[in-house]
Amino acid sequence: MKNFKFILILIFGFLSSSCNLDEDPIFLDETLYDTPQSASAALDGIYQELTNYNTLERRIFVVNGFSGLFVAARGGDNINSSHNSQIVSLKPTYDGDSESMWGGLYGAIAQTNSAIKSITVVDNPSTKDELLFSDIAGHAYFVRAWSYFSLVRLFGDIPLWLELADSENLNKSKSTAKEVYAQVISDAKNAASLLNGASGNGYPKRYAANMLLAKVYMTLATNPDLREGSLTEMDYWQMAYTEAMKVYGIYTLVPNYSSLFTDSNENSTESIFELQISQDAANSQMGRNFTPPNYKASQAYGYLRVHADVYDQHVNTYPGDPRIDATYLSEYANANTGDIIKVYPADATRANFKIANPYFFKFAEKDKTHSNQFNNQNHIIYRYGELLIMLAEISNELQNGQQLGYVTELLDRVGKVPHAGYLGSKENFRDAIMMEYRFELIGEGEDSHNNRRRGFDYFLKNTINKHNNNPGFNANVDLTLNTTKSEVMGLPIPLKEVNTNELIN
Amino acid sequence: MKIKFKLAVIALVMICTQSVFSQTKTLSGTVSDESGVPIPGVSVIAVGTTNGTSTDFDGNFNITILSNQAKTLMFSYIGYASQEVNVSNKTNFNIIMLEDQTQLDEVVVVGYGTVLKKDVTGAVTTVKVNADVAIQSNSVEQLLQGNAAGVQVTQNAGSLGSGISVKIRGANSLRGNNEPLYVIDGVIISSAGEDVIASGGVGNSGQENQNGLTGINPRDIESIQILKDASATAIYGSRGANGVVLITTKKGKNGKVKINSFITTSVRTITKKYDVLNGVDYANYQNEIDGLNGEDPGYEINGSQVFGVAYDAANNPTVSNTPAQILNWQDELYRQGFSTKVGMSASGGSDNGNYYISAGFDDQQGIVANSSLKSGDLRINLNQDLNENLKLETRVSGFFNSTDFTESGDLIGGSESFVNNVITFRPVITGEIEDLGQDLEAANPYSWVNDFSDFSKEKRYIGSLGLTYELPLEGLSYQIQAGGDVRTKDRRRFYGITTYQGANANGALQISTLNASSYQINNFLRFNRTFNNKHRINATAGVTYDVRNVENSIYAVEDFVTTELTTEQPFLASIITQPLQFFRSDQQIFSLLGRVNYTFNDKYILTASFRRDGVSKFSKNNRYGFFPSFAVAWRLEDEKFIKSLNLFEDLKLRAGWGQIGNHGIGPYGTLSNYGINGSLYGTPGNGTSVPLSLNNIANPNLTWETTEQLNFGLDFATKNNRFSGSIDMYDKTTKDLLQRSPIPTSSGFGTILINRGTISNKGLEVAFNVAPVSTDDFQINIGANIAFNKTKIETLGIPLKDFYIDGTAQQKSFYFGDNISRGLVFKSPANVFVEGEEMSLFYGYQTNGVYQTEDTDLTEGAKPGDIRIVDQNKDGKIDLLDRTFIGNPNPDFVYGFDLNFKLKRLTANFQFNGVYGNDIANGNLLRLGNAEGDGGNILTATYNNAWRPNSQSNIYPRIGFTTENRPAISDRIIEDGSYLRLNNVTIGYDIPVEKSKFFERLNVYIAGQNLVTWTHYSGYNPEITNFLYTGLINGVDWNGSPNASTILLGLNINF
Repeated sequence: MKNFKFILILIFGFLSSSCNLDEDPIFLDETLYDTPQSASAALDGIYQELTNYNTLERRIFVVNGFSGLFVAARGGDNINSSHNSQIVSLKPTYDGDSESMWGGLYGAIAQTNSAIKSITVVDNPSTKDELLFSDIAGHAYFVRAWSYFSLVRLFGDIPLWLELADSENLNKSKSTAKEVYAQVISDAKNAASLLNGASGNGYPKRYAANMLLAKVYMTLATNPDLREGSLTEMDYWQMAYTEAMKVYGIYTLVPNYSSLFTDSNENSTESIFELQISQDAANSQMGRNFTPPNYKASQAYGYLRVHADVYDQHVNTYPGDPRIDATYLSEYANANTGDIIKVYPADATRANFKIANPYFFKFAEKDKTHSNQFNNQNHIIYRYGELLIMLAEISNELQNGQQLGYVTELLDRVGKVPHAGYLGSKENFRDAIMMEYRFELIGEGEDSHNNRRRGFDYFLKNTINKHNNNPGFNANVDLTLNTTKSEVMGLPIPLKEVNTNELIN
Repeated sequence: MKIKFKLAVIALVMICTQSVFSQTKTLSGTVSDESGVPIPGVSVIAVGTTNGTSTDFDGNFNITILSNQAKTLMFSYIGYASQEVNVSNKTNFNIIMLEDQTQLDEVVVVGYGTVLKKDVTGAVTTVKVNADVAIQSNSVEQLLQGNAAGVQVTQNAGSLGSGISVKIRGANSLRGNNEPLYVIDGVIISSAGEDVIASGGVGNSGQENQNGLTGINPRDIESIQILKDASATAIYGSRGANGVVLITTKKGKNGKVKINSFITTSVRTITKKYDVLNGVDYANYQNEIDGLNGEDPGYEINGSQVFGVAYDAANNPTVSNTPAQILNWQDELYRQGFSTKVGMSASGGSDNGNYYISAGFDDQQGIVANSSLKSGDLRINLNQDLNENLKLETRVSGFFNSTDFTESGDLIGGSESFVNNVITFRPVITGEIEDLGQDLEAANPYSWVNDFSDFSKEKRYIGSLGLTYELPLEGLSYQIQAGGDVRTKDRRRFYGITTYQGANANGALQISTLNASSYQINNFLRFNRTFNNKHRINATAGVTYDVRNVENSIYAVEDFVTTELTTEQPFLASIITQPLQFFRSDQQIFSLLGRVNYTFNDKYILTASFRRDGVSKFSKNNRYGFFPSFAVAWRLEDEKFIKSLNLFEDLKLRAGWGQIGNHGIGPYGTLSNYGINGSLYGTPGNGTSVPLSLNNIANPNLTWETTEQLNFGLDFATKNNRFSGSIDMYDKTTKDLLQRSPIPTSSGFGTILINRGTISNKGLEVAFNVAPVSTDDFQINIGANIAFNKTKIETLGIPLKDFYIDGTAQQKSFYFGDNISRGLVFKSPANVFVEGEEMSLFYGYQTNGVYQTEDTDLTEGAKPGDIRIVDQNKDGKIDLLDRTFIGNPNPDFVYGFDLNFKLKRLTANFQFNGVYGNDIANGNLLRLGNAEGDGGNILTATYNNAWRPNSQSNIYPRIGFTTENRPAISDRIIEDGSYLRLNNVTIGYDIPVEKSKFFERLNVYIAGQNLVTWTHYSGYNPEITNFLYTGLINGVDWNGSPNASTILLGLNINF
C-alpha cells in the first residue's frame, strides 16, 4: 500500500501542477513605438531596410544598368552575358536584381506602414519626446514617398500598400502610376511638415522631402498623363521651383568634389539624404561590388563600367574636369601583384570587351589595402549639387533668368564655367543641363530616371542613339542599345510578384 | 509477453505443489535456441494433464509424469514456436526452439501500450530488424528503407550524416516537413527535421540540413512498428498525422550474461561521375567562345597539350612555354573513404529484472578528404521488479558525434557550392603552379579540402523512467513515465581565404548552435482482462504533458588577423557580420487520451480511441483539438466456415476511421514579431546602431490541420504460415493545411503561416512474405512490398486566376513553389500547386529540338541554334503564357523487396528498394547542358554535339546559348527519376564454434551497401535530398552530392 500512496501523491501532484499553454517568445511588440529609445531604433529599422543588399546594391545595379550609360562586368564579363544582353542593353526581362530590389523597397515600405500605424504624433509637438515622435513619423512618410517614387518610375502601375498586410489582406492589385504619384506627393508633404530634425545627425531633414517633391513635380511636368486636373506643365515647373527653393541656401557644396566619395567626408554640408554605412555594421558590400578587380587587396568585382562614348563626351565637354578622376578609373596597379592594369582610355585599343570601357569609380573602396568585403563609405542619395542642377533646369523651363547662375555655382567648385551649350536657346540649355546631370551625378542613382523623364523620344535621341551612333562605336565591344519603345521605358513587374499576387494576372 | 510469462510462472507454482498419485516416469533434457544458447523459463507441460515445469537457468528441465496419461510434452516460450514432442520411450530430450515471427500471440507495441497482434485493428506494420543489417546501419531510417509498404525513405548515401526524409503514405501537408513522429520506448523524439539554423548565406544558399534523428543506434533496436492509419495514430492526436514510428529497444533475457561484440571495416566510393570536357576539348570550347565574343583565343592546342596564351597591351600574343596541367577534378577530389565501427553489448536477467547495456564507436570517412564522422554511443536499459506489484523500467542513452564537411557546401551555384565547383572548374591549369592545393587561385575545388571546415559536434541524452503499479483490481495497473531528450549541437563553418566566401571576407566563420530539451510526463491507467473467456478488454487512459524548449543561436564573423585557428577562435576576426542572436521556440502540449480495445469471442474486435490536445502554438480560441478514431476487425480464420476450408492460419479483415491533427509549424505564428532582424545600421562616424523592425505577419487565426483517414485492410497467412501478407487501402484527406505560404513581396514580407487548402491521398499497399523452403539447413524467405499513392490537391482556397495549360488560359486556383536559386540560372520556381492536380507538378516550357538555319518560324528574339521552345499560344513570342505542365515529381509507386537465404552456416540477404514513375528537375543541366561560355566546364556531349551552322544538331543548342534569367524551366532538365537499388547485400558465415567453451557464436560477413542502382537519371543520384523540408520545392536536384557505395567486412562475436 505504500507504493499505492506514493503514486497517488504523484498523480495528485501532477494534475495540480499548472500546465501553462501561453507563449512567451523573445519578441517585442508594437509598444516599441511608445518609448523614445526603441522608437528611434525602429527608425533605424526603416533606414536599415534601405541599406540592405537588395535595396541598395541591387537598386544601384538596376538603375545604372538600365540607364543606357553602362556595361556590366558581372555574370560573365563579356558582351553576350545575360546582364549585358538583357537589362543593360535595355531589353529588360524578368531579372533577379530588379526582383530583389522590388522586394527590398517594399520591405522598407512595410516598415514605414508599421511606424505610421503605431506611432503617436500630437499636433504642434513641443516636448522633446513629442518632437522626436513627430520626426520619426516624418521619416516614415519620407521613406515611403521616396520608395514609391523609386518604384513607380521603373515599373509604372504598381500595388500601393499604405497599411500593413495581415492574414486577411495579403494581395493587392495594381494602382495606376497617377495614383501612386498622388500618394508620393501626399506623403512627401506630410514628411515636410512632420520632420523637425529631432533624430539628429545622419538623418535627412525636412529639406529632403522638399527636394523629393521638387523631383516629383519635375517628373509630372514632362508627363502629361500623370498630371492632376487642370494643372499645366508650367504649374508643375513652378511648384517644383517653389519646393526646390526651400532647399536652396540651406546646404553648401563641399570644396573637393572627389571627397564626396570617400569615407572621410560623410554627412557633409552638401549631403541632403545620406544612408549610413559602417564596416562594423556589415551593411554594405558596395566596395566589393563596385571596386575594379584587384584595385584593392581583397576580392572586388567592378560590376559596372561606363560607356567609352559617355566618358569621351565628358572629357570633350570639360577637359581637365576633376570630376573625371573621381568618376572613372582606367589605369591602376594590381594591389596584389603590382602589375599595371589599363582599360579605356589608358588602353585606347578597345581590343576586347574587358578593356573597352572605363571603370565606374565613385563607389569603389579607395583604400588599396582594404581586406574586407564590407566597407565604410556612406551612400549619398540626395545632395546639393543635384539641387543646383534641378534649379537650373527648372529655371530654364520657367525662363526666370536664374538658370545660368545655378550652373555657374555648381561648376565653380570644379574650376569650370558653363560651356557654350548653355548660352544658346532654351532648348540648347535644356540639352546641356540634362547632360550636366550625367557629368555631375552619373551612377549615383538617378540616371535611369533622368534619361527617361522627358519621354521616349528624348531618351532615344540623347541616350540611345547617341551611343549606338557614336563615331567610335565598335560592335565587338559596344552594346547595341534597344530602340523599341514598348521595351525600353520600364521594367516588367517581377516574376515573383506576378507568381504570388492573386490580384495581378 | 510479461503477462504470459507471469501466467507461466503462476501455473508452474501451482503445478509443482500438486502431489503425485499414479505410476510415474521422469523425463529430462535441455532446451536451447537455434544458436545453441540455453533458454531458461521454457514451459514444459505434459499434454492432456495439468502437469508441467519450466527450464532452469541453464535450460535444463526435469518432469515426472504419469506414464499412462501423458504421451506428449509441449514446450512453449514467448517468441518461439511451440513444440510438441512424442515421449514414447525416450527419457532424455535435446529440444531446439525455433523463433516464431508470425506467432499470433505476439504482442505488438501500439501507442501508449501493447496489444496482442491478433487484436490489432489498425494498419500497423512491423519492420523486421535484421540484426546483421542493423549493425551496418548508421541511422534508424536505413532500417525502414524498402522494408515497409508505404514508407518512402529518401537519403543520400554519399554525404555522411545528411538530412533524411521519411514519408508515410505520401505527403500529408504542403509543408516540406512530413516526417513521422518517432517514439522511442514511449518517449517522443520530435526532431527528425531539427537542426541548427544557418548563420550565413541567403535564401536557399545556406548550409544543408543534417540528420536530426541522431542518438538511436540501430543495433539496439528490438523492433519497429509503424502506425499508418488514423485509427492507430489518433492516440497521438495532433502529432500523429504523418504516421508514427514506434521503436522498442532491446532488453535482457532471463539467463546468464550474453555478450555480443562486433567490428566492421568498410570502404566507401563514389558510384557515378558527370562526364565533363577533358582539357583539350575544354580549351577548344573556350577558344570557340572567345571567337564568338570577338575576343582572342586564350589557349593554343598542340595534340594532347594545351598552352596558355597571354596578350600584352598592344594585343600581341605570347604562348606559354610549358604545357598546362590537365585535370579531371572529380577524380582529384573524390577518393575512397575508410570506416571502422566497433561495438559491444551485454545483456542478461533474472526473475526480478533484466539489463541490456551497449556501447559503440564509429569512425567514418567520406568520399572527400576532409569529410568525416565520428560517433560514440552508450545505452543502458534496466527493468526491475521492485516488489510483486511495482515494476521499474529505465532507459538511458548517450550519444556524441563530431563531423567535418559532411555535406556539399552551399546550395547556390557557382563557386559557392562544392559540388558545382568540382564539376565545373576549368580542367586546364596554365601558369607555373606546382601545388594545386596551395597555389591555385581562390575558389578552386581544392580550397574546399584545404581551407574549409564544417565541424559539427553533437551530444544527446535520451532517458526515461517508468513505474508500473499493479492495482488491487485484477488487470488494472497504473503507470507513470517521465522521459526526456536533451540535445546540444554546435556547428562551425570556416572559410579560409582561398575559398570564394573567404576570399571576399578575408576569412569567415559562422557558428550555429542548437540547445534543445524536451520532457514528457505520462500517466496511464491500463485495464487488461478477459471475462468469461469471451470478452477481452484492453483499455488505456492517460494524461500527458509534453514540453519542448529549443534555443538556437547564430553568430558570424570575418576579416581575420590570422586564419590559423580556423573555427576555434572567433576573437581573431575584426568584423561581426552576424551579432550573436538567439532564437527560441518553445512549445507545450497538454493532452488527455484514451483507448479501448474490445475483443469478443476472439473474432470480433473493436477499437475506439480519442485524444484531446491543448497546444501552446495557437491562440486561446483555437488551442484545443479533439481527435477520435474507431476501428473494427473480424478474425475470419476462427469462423467455422473458414476453418473448415483448412486453408488459412490467419485471415483478418480490418476497417478503421479516424481524425488526427497536425500543428507542425514553429511556435509564435500567431504573434507579431517586432525586434531584431539580424542586421545593424550604421551611424555617423562609422559606428553601429541596433535597428528594430517588424519581421513577420502574424496570423492569430492559426489552428490545426486535420487529417481524416479511412482504412480497409486484410491480413492473411496460409500454407502453414509460409505465405503471409497484408493488403491495405486508404483514403485520407487533410484540410486546413498549415503552410508557410509565399505571399506577394509587395506586402513587404515573403511568407505567412496560414491554414489553407485541402489535399487527399489515396493508396494501396501490399506486403507479403513467402518462405518456400524452411528446413534447419536450408531456408529461403522472400519479403516484398509495394505502395501506390496518389496525392491530389482538392482545394487551395486561392481565388481563380488565368492559368495556362498548353497555351490556353484556364481559370484555376494555384500557387507557385519557391525560386530554386538566387543566381542567374534556375531563378524561377520549378513546381506549381494547382487545385485538382497532383502536388508540386513541374511547370515550364516544352521544347522541341533546336532551331535550324533554314527554319522560318522562329519566335521573337530567337536565332538558329537556340532551343526551340514550343510557342503554346502561337503568338510568335515566348513568354509566361507559354508555360505548361512538363513533369511530375510524384512517384506512381514505391517498392522494396528482400531475399534471404540460409544454407547450413551460410546466410545471404539481399535488400532492394525502388521508386517508379517520378520525374526529377535536374538543375545541374542548366549549366552543364548548355555551352553558355561562362568559363565553367560542361558535359562532353553538350560541347562536342553542339549546334553549329555547318553541323546542325537538333538536340544540343549553339555555343553561347544561355538560359540565364529565363522565367521558367524547360522540359530539357526534366528526367525520369525512377530507380531500383540494391540497397544491401549481406553474406555471412557462422564459423563452427560449438565445441569452443569461449564463443557462443562467431559470424563473419561481407556486405555491400548501395551497390547497384538501375536508373535512367543522368545526375549523380536519383534519390534527391536537396530542399528536403521546404515543401515549396520538390524533386529538384540542385548541386546534389554524389552517390557512394560501401563494401564492408564484419565480424560478430557472441560469448
